[in-house]
Amino acid sequence: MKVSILTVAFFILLAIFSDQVVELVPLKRGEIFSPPSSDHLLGTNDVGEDVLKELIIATKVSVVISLFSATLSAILGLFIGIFSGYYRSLTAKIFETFTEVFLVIPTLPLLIVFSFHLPPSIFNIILLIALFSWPSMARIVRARVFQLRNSGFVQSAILFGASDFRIILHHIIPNLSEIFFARFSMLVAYSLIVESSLSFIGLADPTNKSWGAMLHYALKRGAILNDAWWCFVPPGVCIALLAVSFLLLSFEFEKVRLTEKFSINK
Amino acid sequence: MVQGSSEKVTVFFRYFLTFFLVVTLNFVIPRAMPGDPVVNLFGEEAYLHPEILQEIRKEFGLDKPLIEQYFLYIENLFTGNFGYSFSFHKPVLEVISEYMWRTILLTLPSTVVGVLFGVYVGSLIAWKKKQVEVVLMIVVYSIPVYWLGIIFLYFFSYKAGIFPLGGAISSFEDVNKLILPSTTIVLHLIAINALMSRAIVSGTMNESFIVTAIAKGLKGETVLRRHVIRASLAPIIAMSAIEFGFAFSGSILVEIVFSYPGIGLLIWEAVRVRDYPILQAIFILVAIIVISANAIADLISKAIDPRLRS
Repeated sequence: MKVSILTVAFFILLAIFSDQVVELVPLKRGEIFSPPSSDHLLGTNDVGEDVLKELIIATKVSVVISLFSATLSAILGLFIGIFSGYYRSLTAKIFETFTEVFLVIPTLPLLIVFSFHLPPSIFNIILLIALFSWPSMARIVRARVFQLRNSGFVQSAILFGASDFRIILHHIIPNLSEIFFARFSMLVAYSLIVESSLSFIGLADPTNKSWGAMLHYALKRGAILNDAWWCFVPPGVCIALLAVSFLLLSFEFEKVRLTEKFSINK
Repeated sequence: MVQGSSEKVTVFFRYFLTFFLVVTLNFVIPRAMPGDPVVNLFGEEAYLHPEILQEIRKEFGLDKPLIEQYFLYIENLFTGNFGYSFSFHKPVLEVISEYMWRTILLTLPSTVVGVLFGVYVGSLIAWKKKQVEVVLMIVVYSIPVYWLGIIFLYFFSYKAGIFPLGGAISSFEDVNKLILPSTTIVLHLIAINALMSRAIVSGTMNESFIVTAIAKGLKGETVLRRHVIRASLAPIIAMSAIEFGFAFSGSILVEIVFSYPGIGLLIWEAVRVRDYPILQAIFILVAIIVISANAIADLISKAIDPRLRS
């Protein structure tokens, strides 16, 4: 738990201060594919760029995309989930059906088709990932809201004549926090991995290289055949580290929920 | 019974809607996105072959109103006319069928093995309430599947030289070209399935009938076999169909790493030469396969679990 919070904090701080941190790294170009040395701590890539410098700049791109798209899709999923779980109108039913339908469509091929047409920018990628990752949040929130709506305290609030808005704000939303944060952490990890996959396929913004894009160029320009492991190991380790940290956080939130549920049952 | 049949109608309607949505998205995207729809639909090379382009324009009715285009598009879809790939100089369906079977050869066995092992590991972790193993699975799950492939390729093919650096399988001796890519996918799927089935089995174990089973003095193994696994089976089957979609996505990425000429490498190539018809057709085919897998799993899980039928 502590380790994952520290890792997440480290990467977020690195992303925020990447412009300043980069200046600490000597920027002169080296030989192509030169191994790690005191000049270039992580060696150089196929054009002689310092890998460490690239990695720090890419941190910003990857962290920004995964955090923002997860936030956007989490909020979208939260609203749709509350709406379709709380109300019993036809519109709510339609939203529920849409959630189920979207869950089945394979996301990666769909995103490939979309991002192929849109000009590759960070903004577009954030929007695309958010647009197609809300259903998992909506579904889990809907199930919980449905359960809460039938529980005693919400029923008595209705009996006392509380408005829907008040019930949702004071009785439903506070009870969604563990579910929300568990799923949100998962969404960050998911967005990170999806973004890196799209960039790896070569659909990323070439001017803003993310960790996935670094892997794209490493594979495309023969880092393996040049024995240049320093080109492809660091970005992958970064993706895995950040994703693991967010998933472990999500796992912790879920455990809190399970123990709470158990203590209520007692 | 009346209730049961209306439930069936709802489920059928849902899959029909999914299918309709996918097909319509596929129609709308190239026409609604910025840029010339002809280029969006057929790629830039289309303008280099005016006579073929003329024919295709007529075939897809690009000069007609959108509604008519839509019906023509549906008709073309059902007759397997996915358009013409200018970079391959072949109809799209021909190109894809050359690649698709290799992807299925890679994906299907990997999915079966990955799901079986994953569910086994996941149920065991849930039953024994292990923590370390969960963390291990989360770590494996977080490693990007294509990066795992790159690392395998680097160590086993480049450094150790045990496996070839990649390529197509053309004869039986080439089976070793399948080993590394499928191991990569299997490892990834084991992690996903273990995590998901752990969640399902832990959920079952919180149910009161399990407490009853333990309270009436059944042996642990009997509780696991007769009550826990049986009750978790239906959601696990439903889950493994969704995994099939993951397997395809994983396969797309892993094929690129191992230059294994399946759908994934085709996507990589199509993105490089900006051949849109290929991407469009791959999307619709993968979607159809995944949706059908889900529909079948839905039917099976309803058939074996009476609780889902009410």
